[in-house]
Amino acid sequence: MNEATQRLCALASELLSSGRVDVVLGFERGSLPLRSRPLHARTPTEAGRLVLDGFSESNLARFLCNLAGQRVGIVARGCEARSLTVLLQEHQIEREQVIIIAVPCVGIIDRRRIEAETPATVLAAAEVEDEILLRTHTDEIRLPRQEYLCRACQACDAPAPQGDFTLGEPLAHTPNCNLADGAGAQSPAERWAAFATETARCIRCYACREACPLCYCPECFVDHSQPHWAPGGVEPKGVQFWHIIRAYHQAGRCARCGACERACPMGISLVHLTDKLNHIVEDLFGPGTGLELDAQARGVAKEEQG
Amino acid sequence: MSAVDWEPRLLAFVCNWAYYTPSERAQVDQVAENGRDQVVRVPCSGRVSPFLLLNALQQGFDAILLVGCEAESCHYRDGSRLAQRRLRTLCQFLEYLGVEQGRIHLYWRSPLPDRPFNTLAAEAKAAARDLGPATVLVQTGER
Repeated sequence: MNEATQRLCALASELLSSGRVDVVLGFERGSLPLRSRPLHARTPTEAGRLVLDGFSESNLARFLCNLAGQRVGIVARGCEARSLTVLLQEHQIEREQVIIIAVPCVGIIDRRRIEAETPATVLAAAEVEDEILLRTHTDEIRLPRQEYLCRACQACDAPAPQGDFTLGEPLAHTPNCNLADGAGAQSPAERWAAFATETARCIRCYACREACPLCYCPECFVDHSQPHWAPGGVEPKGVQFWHIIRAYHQAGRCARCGACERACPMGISLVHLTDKLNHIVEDLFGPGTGLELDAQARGVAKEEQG
Repeated sequence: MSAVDWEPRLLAFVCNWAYYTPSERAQVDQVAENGRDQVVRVPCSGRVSPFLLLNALQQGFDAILLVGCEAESCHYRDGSRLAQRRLRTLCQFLEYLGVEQGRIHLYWRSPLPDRPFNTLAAEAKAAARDLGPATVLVQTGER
């Protein structure tokens, strides 16, 4: 157990035993290698199970809207903090309700890529310094951590948030890719072909919606039956409608955490769409998402601000 | 039908208050008289949700025109402003996805004497004629 994890467990136990929070949201080790799972720690003993690692794929801000009326301590990486800011701006949670335990993030590991590239089944995985240590039946494999980060983490420009408590040193991270750029160089026809091919794999399980911290509508447009905007099933009509409107509903709000992409069982990668929408909204209406809590709510166009 | 006599199909969303006088209204209705193009009157451009535009593209319309009032002269004060925010964002997004520039036309009309509706409709159709039949998003087969 590394030092940051020890400090987190101690802090979470103290917050719970002193009664400052009812629950601490964090991650614990999962039962499968390369995966950590979300943990709702309600007692100091449970808080001892908390871990900080690069195998924590979910966005914890997702659970906040279900915890109304409870005081919540949340372990927040950069993307979780940005999601929290949007949730606060949209009045989905109260600032007094949450205690933010800010954790500088070194990026989430792309589990799918490792599984695809490792010939044998991975039995155990660990992070050692800048390397990922994998154990299979026959041998041990070491991979450079930095090269196996998720796309959203490679593009992240604010991995170290501010919080009520901050664990670890602030990080300087320079994004090494821009999500929307790759597709920007293509012609409209190529972009459409890429979108159509990518969405053709969709099985409409809505895991992307369930993983998204900002998809909190009690009733989603896709579940409406009158009018039935996006017909069910996997025909292109409904699938494309779903993906376009899902992205559009994130316009200027997406925290770029990539949880939708990581949750997708078919590996559909569409984070560049919401990233592009963030850029469009920024051009039309002003500054970036989830970075400043006091920022004026979106909706007043730049030219109207004068 | 050969490519030469191909005519684009137009769908127009028109705010009731943008063309209010009887002569203007008659002109709006006239556009749909050819039986191919369609005009949908809405109480305010703010009623036009992104769902409607996307649905129209999926139904295979080659040109889409939306005429609303200028933000300052909206009959419902904020409707036009909301529509402009939503639809400008949506149009830029659809362009990024691959819908050609010139398929969707948004026009915000001044309360002063402004361009007549049939000119706007003709321009939207001319732009679509240059682009050819819509292919992106089109799903005409009913499931």
